[in-house]
Amino acid sequence: MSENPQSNRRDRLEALLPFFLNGTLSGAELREVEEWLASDPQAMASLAEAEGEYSATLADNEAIRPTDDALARFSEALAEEAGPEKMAKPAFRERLARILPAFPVQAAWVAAGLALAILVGQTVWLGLSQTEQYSVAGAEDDDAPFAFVTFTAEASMADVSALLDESEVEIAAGPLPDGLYRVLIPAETAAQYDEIVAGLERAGVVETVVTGRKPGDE
Amino acid sequence: MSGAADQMSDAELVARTARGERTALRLLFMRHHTRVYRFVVRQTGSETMAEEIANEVFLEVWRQAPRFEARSQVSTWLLGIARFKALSALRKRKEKALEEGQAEAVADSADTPEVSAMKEDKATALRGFVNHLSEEHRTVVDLAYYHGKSVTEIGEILSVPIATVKTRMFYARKKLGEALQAAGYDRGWP
Repeated sequence: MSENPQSNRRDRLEALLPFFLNGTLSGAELREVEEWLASDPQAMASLAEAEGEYSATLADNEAIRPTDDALARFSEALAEEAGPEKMAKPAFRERLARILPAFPVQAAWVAAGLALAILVGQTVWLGLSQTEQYSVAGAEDDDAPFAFVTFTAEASMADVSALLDESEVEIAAGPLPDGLYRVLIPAETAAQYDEIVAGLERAGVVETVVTGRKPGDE
Repeated sequence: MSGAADQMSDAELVARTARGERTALRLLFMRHHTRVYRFVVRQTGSETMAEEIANEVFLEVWRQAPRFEARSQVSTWLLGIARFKALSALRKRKEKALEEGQAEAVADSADTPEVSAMKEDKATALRGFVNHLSEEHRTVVDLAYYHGKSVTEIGEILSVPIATVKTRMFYARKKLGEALQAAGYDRGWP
């Protein structure tokens, strides 16, 4: 390509290798790269070099971390842009609000025995903090598979506790705006992830599941 | 906000955002913010600028969501917006620096990549060389390797022809190879 980029086949194929690696090459270009890799020993060496570049670029990018409060800052900016939001509290919160005042605080925590109760109790209903805690995907537990869930109006803490225990799902952050929770999915493969998410969807206490990072996603 | 996970695609979240659902926009933010932020940091070299620009990108989604036609992936659209805003911010910063009589760039006192490379293993050296590519070469490398974009998508994001994307990738990889060779590492090409 140094003199005429399109005339040099090797150079042209070298330029396509990154797109072969990221899986976006198709059609005639994909076939040409595959034929080259199958027929030319130098091509495999080039592919190994490109894989090294791939790893280096991933590492460079993943070393960059956004701040933990990025979502909170964005929510403030959005409120400035779009005006104050009408806060229709999720019914799950309303139900917790009815439950929690009926018990002494410590008793409620012990009875719940859940990170969920602690999270919700500390950050929303017991008023220990006026600032909701936010977390952004990729900012922490960077490699852990996760999803977002909301719970139904009828969900009790016991129901949620049982579901978390049964599915071995752990709440990593929440409540986020609109009652969302980020949950860690204990899966090592995409198939396991899908299975656990499907189980959450089938659970009567879960209203919504939105997929986040799956195993294998960088 | 109900239904299977697979139904909640990025495109649907944009459609919901267009109907004024802030929750949908927040979900988009949570899915894509880290990548957008990293992209802008790599463009501008500034985490402070990147934080501001990344927010602006998603506010732009709030404004433009009704006009999103799903001709491209949402992530490609986001990176296109990010690229435009990063370039605008860099231009303003440069103009401001010129107005104030400041030096256009601060000399890098660190080791050159070649010197650093002699001290490190090949993988570490390669990371340094990727970082020291020119902005336009590094951007193409980032978009292909980290963001997983195709030639066509990179052309959309950068507003350049497909041939330009390939040519930039060629020279970026060539420079990486030359840098590695200069540092004493084996390299089959160029």
